[in-house]
Amino acid sequence: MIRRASLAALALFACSLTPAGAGSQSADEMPLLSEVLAAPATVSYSGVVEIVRTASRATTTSVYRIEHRAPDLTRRTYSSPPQFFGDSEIVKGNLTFSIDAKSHRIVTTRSDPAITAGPALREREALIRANYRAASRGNGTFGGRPTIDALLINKRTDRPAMFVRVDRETNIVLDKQEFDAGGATISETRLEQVRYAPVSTAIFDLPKGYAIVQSRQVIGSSNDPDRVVSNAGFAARKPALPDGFSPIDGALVELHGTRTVQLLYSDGIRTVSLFESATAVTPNMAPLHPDALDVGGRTAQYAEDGAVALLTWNDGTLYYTLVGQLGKAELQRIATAITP
Amino acid sequence: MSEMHLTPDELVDYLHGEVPAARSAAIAAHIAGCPECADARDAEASLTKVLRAHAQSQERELPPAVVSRIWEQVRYRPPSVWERLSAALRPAIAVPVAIAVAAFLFFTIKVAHGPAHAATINAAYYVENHAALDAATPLSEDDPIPQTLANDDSTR
Repeated sequence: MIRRASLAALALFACSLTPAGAGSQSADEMPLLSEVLAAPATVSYSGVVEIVRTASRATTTSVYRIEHRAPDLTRRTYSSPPQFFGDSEIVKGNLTFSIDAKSHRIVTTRSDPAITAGPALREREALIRANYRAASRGNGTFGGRPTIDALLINKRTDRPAMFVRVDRETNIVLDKQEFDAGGATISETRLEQVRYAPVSTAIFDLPKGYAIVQSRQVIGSSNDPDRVVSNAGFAARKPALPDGFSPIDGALVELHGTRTVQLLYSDGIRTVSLFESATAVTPNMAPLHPDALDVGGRTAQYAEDGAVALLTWNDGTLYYTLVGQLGKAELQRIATAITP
Repeated sequence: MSEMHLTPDELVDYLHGEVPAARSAAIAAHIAGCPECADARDAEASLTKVLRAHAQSQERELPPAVVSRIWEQVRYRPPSVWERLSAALRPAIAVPVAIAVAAFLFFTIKVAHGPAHAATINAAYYVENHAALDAATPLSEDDPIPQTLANDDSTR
């Protein structure tokens, strides 16, 4: 689904670019950055989002209608894949309501307001700047609207990671393509039939007659991963990850009764979760037809669940699982850095 | 002690150094002041000297071939079961062996069998929690399908 903040952040690259100034970011662009990031709070729009994600074993597609009312109301109504036809998701600030039309239930999820607050946003911006640079690809059009086109290039690999077309008027990203380390396209998100107009608040009302249930409990969540690790109740770790990934968030969760530390790492654009537990509990990879990989001399299991990849192993003391939309080789490199 | 002369047994023990130090000192003092006991001591010492000389004169060297065979048997005699067991139980060997056995058992049970016996739970739990935490952060990535809709088992 289109995340407004994400799209706005990507737009900053395009907005701060001119063909002559491609590839450079400087401190005096910060006012523009703040302006772009503030755009979702002021721009209301509707349209149809199409997402295609390609993994090595499967391709995932979804189509939904999106209605966003500034500053923080969003509804997505799915038409594809078929099993989700008619389902929808309503976001009200830090509350998300996933509406299952077939089972007549609403799953509520509450995110930590501190995580979406300004400081966290600025940390994420800093990560993007640290790990990526922008290169202008000039002006274009998408769906009849003028766009600024730009590439995001990973500073470490010097390879393009993302291509974006940003609406010149509104700073909304209309098209986004992501590439793997080899340059192949792994996903594309397109916002079609976009209209910028006020959206009625009535469409964000929850349907009546639905059972409301809470999403699985999070024992403790904090944007301070150190605090999560220290409260784990076992000798959890906050390892350093390669490739510019830094810990940005953490949660203490119970996975089927097993106390588990979850640390979310990001390089600004991509994210990966590291799950740690002291109990011998691992994800059941068998239905996903896992491959065996070597992680620091230990056998690990790698599998893909749609566009998301999992890698699980143990070092004899802790049980680790990495989850993210990263490639096999990258996950293996990260895992090896965790348990060399 | 000066009024009582030393017995022959006392003299013999004295000459062979088999009396306590205090008693030896007392005997020496007595002999110094008792000419009779001094004579008896000299006689006993002389006899001892003669017997030693005689014993030394009776010593014979074993034939070289016999000595050689004896040493050969000493050097190449296979150790008994008890000797082997005793050697194995010496701390210098037993401790490392015990550590190796413990390590073998640990890795055999915990590492080799541990993961195989690890409980498994639906991988979707991990994917869902990743998506949930990721979605809560600013600049979160797009997720084609909300995990809370994709998983019927996502609620408590």
